[in-house]
Amino acid sequence: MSVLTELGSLGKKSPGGRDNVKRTFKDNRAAMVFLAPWIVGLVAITIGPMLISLYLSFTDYNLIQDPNFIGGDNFTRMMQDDRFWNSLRVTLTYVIVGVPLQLGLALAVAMALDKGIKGLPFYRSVFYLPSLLGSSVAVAILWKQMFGTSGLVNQLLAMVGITGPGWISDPSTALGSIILLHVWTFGSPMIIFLAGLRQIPTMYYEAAAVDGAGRTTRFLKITLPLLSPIIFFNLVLQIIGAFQSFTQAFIVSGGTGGPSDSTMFFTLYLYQRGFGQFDMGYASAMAWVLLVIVGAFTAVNFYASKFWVFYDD
Amino acid sequence: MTTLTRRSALALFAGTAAVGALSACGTGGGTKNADGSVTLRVSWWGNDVRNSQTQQVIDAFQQAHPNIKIQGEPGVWSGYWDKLATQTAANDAPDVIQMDLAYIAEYGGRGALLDLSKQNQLDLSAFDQNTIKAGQYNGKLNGISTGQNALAVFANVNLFKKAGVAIPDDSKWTWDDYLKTAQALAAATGTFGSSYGLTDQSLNIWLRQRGEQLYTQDGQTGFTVDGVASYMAFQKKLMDANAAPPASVAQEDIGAPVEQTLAATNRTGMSFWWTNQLGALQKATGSDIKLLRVPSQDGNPKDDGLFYKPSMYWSASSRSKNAAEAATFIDFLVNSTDAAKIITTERGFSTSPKIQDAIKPQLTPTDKTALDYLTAIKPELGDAPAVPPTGSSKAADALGRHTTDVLFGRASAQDAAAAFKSEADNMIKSAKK
Repeated sequence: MSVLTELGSLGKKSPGGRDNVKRTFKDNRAAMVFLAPWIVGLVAITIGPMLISLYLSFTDYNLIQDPNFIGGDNFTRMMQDDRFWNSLRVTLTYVIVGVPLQLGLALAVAMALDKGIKGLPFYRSVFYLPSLLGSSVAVAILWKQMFGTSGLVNQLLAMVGITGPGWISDPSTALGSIILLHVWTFGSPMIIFLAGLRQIPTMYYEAAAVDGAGRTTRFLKITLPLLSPIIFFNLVLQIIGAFQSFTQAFIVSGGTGGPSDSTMFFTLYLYQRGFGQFDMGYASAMAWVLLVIVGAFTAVNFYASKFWVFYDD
Repeated sequence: MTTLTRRSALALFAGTAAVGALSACGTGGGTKNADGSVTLRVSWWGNDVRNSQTQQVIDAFQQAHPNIKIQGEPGVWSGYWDKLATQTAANDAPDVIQMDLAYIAEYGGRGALLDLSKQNQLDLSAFDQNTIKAGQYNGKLNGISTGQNALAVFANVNLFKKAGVAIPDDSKWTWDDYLKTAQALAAATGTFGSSYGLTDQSLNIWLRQRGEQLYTQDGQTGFTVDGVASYMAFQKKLMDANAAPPASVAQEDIGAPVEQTLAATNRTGMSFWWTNQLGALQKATGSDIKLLRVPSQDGNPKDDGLFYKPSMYWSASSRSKNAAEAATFIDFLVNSTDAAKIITTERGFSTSPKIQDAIKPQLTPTDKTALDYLTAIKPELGDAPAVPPTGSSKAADALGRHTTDVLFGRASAQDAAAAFKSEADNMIKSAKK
C-alpha cells in the first residue's frame, strides 16, 4: 500500500518530467561534446572489436575465408590442447613469482630512498629508468645478448671461474631470465610507493619510538597498514599487467616461446595461433578465456582486500 | 581505480580483436589511377642485394609498360608472414606476392591466390612439368617457381685444412661418416664440429631415405613415429658424441640471422643449407665452401633422398583488382631475359632453358659451384616432394621444438616424435573446413 502511494506521489511531483530530461540533456551537452572523442574511440577501438572477437571465438575464422559458426568447438579444443595448458602454467608462474618479487623490491628501494638521502631526484630517476625501457623492444634485445651463452653475464661469471648456462636458451632458466627482466622494471610501483610513504605522518613513528617500538615493529604496525591501499593498488595493476606480458617473451625467444615452450606466454601462444597458424577463431576464444581469468584474479583481489587493506578514513 | 584497471585489462583484447575490425575495412588491391594507369603492389622478403636487384627489374618493367606503376614492398623473412597474414585478413594483400613452399598451400588452399594457369598474359610454355607441378595445389596454379635449389652439406674448406681432416667423398658417405668427420673436426679445431639440420626439409630428406615422406600428395603426413624418432635420436647422438653443439647453443643457432649462425662464424665445419645461400656463407666465413651431397644410410647417393626445391614463387592475390597487369608483371619476372640478366641466380636457378642460356655468361664462380652440384645430383633425384598441405606451415617450428626437447633430455625420441606427429596431424585437420 505504502509503495503504491509513494509511486502515486512520485507521478504527481514531476508533471514536467519530460522538460527536466530535456534540460538535463542541454546541461550535459557540452560535456557530451568533450567526451565524444573518447566515446567514439571506446566504441570503435575497444567495444566494437571486442564484440567481434566474441563472435569470432565461436567460429572457425582463418583470416582469409569467411567465418563459419562452430559453437563451442574452440573451447573444447582448448581443453584438450597441451600447449594451451602449458602457456597458462608459464603465465601463472610469471605472475605469481614475478609480481611479488617486483613489488617487494619496489617497496625496499622506495623505503631506502625515503630516508631523505641527498640527490633523491637523481636516484629516483635512475631507478625509474628501467621501467621506461623495460617493456621496449630494445631492452629485450639487450637482455637476449646479455644472457646469451657467450653474453655479458657468462663472461662475468667466467672471471670467477663459473661456466654459466645459456640462460635464455636453456628451458630450465629461460623463464627465470624473463622474470628477472620483469622484476628489474620495478620503477613505476616504486614511485607510487614513494608517494605513499611520504603521506604517512612522521609523528606516528616518533610516538612509536618513544614507546620503545623497534624498526621491525614500526614497519609492521605503522608502515604496512598505512601503505596497504597503495600496495593493493600496485598489486592489482601489476597482476593485470603481468598477465598481458608479450613483448619480452616475443623478443627474447625470437617469437617462438622457446626453448621447448618454456617462455610460451598465454598472449604469445594466442598470437601464434591467430597470425601464425591462421586460427583466429581459436585465438579469439583464448582472448576471452584470458579476460575471464584476469577478471577472476581481480575479483578475488578486491574481495580479499577487505581483510587486509586498511583505509585511514 | 576500478575503472582504470578494467580499462587496461580490456586494452589487450582490443588489440587482438582489432583483426576482426580490420577485415571489415580495407580496399583490396590497387585500382585505376586518374590518368588511366594502374598501380600494382609487389611484396617480397630478402636482403639488400635482392632489394636493389628487384628495384632494377621494376624500373625496367615500368619503362616497357608506362601504364603500369609498381610499388615495391620489400621485407625480411621473420616479419614477412605475419604482415602478409594481416594484410590478407584486411583484404589488403599486395597484388604480386613472393611466396614460399611452406606457405603456398596455406594461402592457395584457402583461395587467397590467383590461378595463374588461367592468366593469358603469363606464358608458361618455357617451364617443364615438374616446375608447374611444384606450384599446383588443389588443381590450381598458385605460383610459378622463380628457380630451384637443393639442400647440401656445406663444408668449410679452411676449417677442414686447419684440422688436417680430409673432406669426405660425398659419392659414398653415410651418416656414420658424417658423425666421425664432425667429431674429428671438433677435436682438432676446438669448434663444435657440425651444425644440426633441424628444418622440416632436412627431416624430409631423412624420411625419404627410409622410404617415407613428410607429406603425401593427398595432403596428409606421410611418415611414421619411428621415422621421426630415428631422426631425433641421431641428432642426440651427434650431440652426445661431441660432433655437434650442446642443446642450448643449438637453440641459439636456430633463431640466429644467417650471418650470426655457427656455420657463418666458422664455429662449425659442416652445416645444412640450400644452394642459393652459398654466396652469403662464403662471404660470411671468408672461406671456400665445398658442396657435399647429404649423407645416406647406405652410402649410395641414389638413396640420399635429395630433391630440387622451388626456391620461391611468384604468386598473385586472388582479390587483386588488376589481375591482368599482375600476370603481365609476373611474366616479365620469369620470362624476360632483361629481368633475368639483373637477377641471375639470386632467386634460384631458373628452369626455363631460354633464361639459362641468357644468364650463362654472367655466372660467377659461386654460381658455377652451385650449378655443378645441382647438375651432379640430377641423375640421382627421386620424385619431387608433395607441396606441404594447408595448415602445415608451422610444423617446422613444432619439429624444432620437439627435437630440442630431445636434445635437452626432456623427452625421449620416441615420445617427442609421437607428439610431433599428432601436432602436425592436428594442424592439417583443423585447417580443413
